[in-house]
Amino acid sequence: MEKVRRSRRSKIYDSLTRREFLKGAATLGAGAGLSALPVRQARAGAAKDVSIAVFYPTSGSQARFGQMCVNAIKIAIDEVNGAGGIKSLGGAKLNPVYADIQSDTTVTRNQCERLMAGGGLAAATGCYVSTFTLVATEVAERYKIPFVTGSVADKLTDRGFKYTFQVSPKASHFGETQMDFAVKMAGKGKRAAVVFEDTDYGTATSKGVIDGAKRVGFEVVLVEPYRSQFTDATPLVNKIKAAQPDFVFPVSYITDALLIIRTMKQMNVNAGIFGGGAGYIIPDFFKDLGNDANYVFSAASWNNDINCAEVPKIAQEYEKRYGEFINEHAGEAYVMIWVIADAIERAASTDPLKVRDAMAKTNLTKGPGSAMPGCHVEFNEQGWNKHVHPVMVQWQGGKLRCVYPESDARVKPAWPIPAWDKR
Amino acid sequence: MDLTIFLQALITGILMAGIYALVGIGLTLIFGVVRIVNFAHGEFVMLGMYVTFWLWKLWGIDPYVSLLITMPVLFCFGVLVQRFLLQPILRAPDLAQIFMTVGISVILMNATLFLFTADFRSVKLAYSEWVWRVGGVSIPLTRLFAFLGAILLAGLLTLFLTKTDVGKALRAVAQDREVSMLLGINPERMYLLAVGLGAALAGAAGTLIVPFFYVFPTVGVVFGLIAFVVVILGTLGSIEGALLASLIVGVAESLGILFAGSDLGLVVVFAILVVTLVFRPSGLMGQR
Repeated sequence: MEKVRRSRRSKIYDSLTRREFLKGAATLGAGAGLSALPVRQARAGAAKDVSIAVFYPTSGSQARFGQMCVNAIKIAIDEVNGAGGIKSLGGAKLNPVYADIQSDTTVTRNQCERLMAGGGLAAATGCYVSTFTLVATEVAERYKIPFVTGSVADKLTDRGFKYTFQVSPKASHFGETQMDFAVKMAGKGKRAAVVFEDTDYGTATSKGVIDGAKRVGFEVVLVEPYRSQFTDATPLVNKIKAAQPDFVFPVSYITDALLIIRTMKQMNVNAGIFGGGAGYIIPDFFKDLGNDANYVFSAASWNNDINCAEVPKIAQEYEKRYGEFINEHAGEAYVMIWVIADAIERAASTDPLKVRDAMAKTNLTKGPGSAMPGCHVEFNEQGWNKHVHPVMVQWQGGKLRCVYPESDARVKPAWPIPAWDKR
Repeated sequence: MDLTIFLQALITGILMAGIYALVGIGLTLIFGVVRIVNFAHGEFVMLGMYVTFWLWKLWGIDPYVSLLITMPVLFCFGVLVQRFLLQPILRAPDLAQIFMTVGISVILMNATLFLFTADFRSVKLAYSEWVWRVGGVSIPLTRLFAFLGAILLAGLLTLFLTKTDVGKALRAVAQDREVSMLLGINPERMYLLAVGLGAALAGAAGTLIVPFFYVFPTVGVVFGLIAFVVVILGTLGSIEGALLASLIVGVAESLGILFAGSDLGLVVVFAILVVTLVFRPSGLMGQR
């Protein structure tokens, strides 16, 4: 913590010249989470406990997503420990060390340095936001601690890292799946507009969408990155309207997703909406938009009704505990704890190097650790789960249902979509 | 380029400027009188939003009606902050003052995070979906109301500052603290009033934002940053400057998005700020 504080303070000092005044204001704003909720560092448990670092943003702009992931992780930890812990270590319990990365890259780096340099970790997991995970996995690589993530940026496992394991589909695959699906839906209309938030997540995902659109013969009439912290979606939707698309492919976090849909309705832009996951498929989306949420499609890296045996049980337990459905990232976060537990079990050790080698040999085809689309978790050379694929989901009657591919689909897609005033 | 697309961008920018102005005026008022840069101003807006949200959620009070409650509540909050947190450090070095207001900001943000969780909340009103269509241009009524409300409040504040004795006293303290004391004005009272008014305006901005935006603990960061741009561009302490600057910022952001790209709206705004500061280091209203 001392390290965190010192680097922050010097940053603020640096910014105090007048010319830098505004930058200072921005830094302070961004660093406002600084001394935020003190890191909840679990007590060093009994000697034989196995510590796992859990890095999620539970404050700051991404707190909502981070909190959902932590919720799911708590269930998984309870289940692992309730079932007798790590048997090869004499029933050792998993001891999660939660670190709030405060939706900030600098804090992410500091938190990772702090926990990983301290030693005693068997593995780590996080961070939901690709941008933060890219930072966290760099630190993990340096300290040789296996890091399991559900973030989707392609870069995560394209860098040749030995300690990064990605259970989720890669960002570029979302675009392919979306396009394969959209082209099936397409009648005469072939005009596609791609808008995306401009950090790693949106940029990587949209690239797949644009490539996919060209591949299936769509005409890309608009490619528009935007800042996700905007206060008004009107300027953006204005550009969408001008481009007259038949399909809109937005990649967004929360408020931006909600504002884009609301504004599309206000400006009466009637086009098929194919969201890129995240903000389009969390409980808030329907809570806020009500029936306007219906008919919206989205790509997803996980869903509460995918075709794996364990999923209904997970979904039920989450809903029982937290009163809302489990979203894609929470689902993955849950699975990841089981993947880690499995590796530690086989390594029969808390040594991160041994856990890493065991994890590289992961081959789960049943149980909660396999509950990703494809129902099979096995890592390739780069540490990516080679059996996973994205799914397409659609809001129907307030429920998020899987509609594609056929192997996972539970219901037929509702198409074509009625105009806004007829929903 | 289709004319309606351009008009839409222009009008969107002007409507947004109203909100920026309201947040900015409160900030500039506090600085002008008390000479403290309030880094917690965005959080004042956030508090106003939460008060509005809960009044609606618990008692079904319409946000525009709740202005009558939000503003007094935030006024009192501002007065308390000034009396017990800012007053003691008025003579402290700038750095202490900065950390004090940053500290208040952090505490408020995390207290709301703790109390209300990170959930995104919004109010649903019968008219929140209403859109006025003129030609091809869509004007959501809630944004129009926010703009008109902001103009009205800015007008009332100007009247108060220019036509009433208390308002004149406030300006006197802003212009010269020592001389105003010679004239029998108690500056510390004026400080309380200034911070109270600034907070009330931030709260009003929060209320007017709620019908078309989302309430969450870190929402203040979104509006706080823009408020600083508005205030610096329009010269710290100048209300006319803040009004003019907010119009520039709102329109530049909107047109910047249209012509340069949706991730470049703020870049255009900051480019204008930087260029302005090079030629007029203390902002549009300042001396060279």
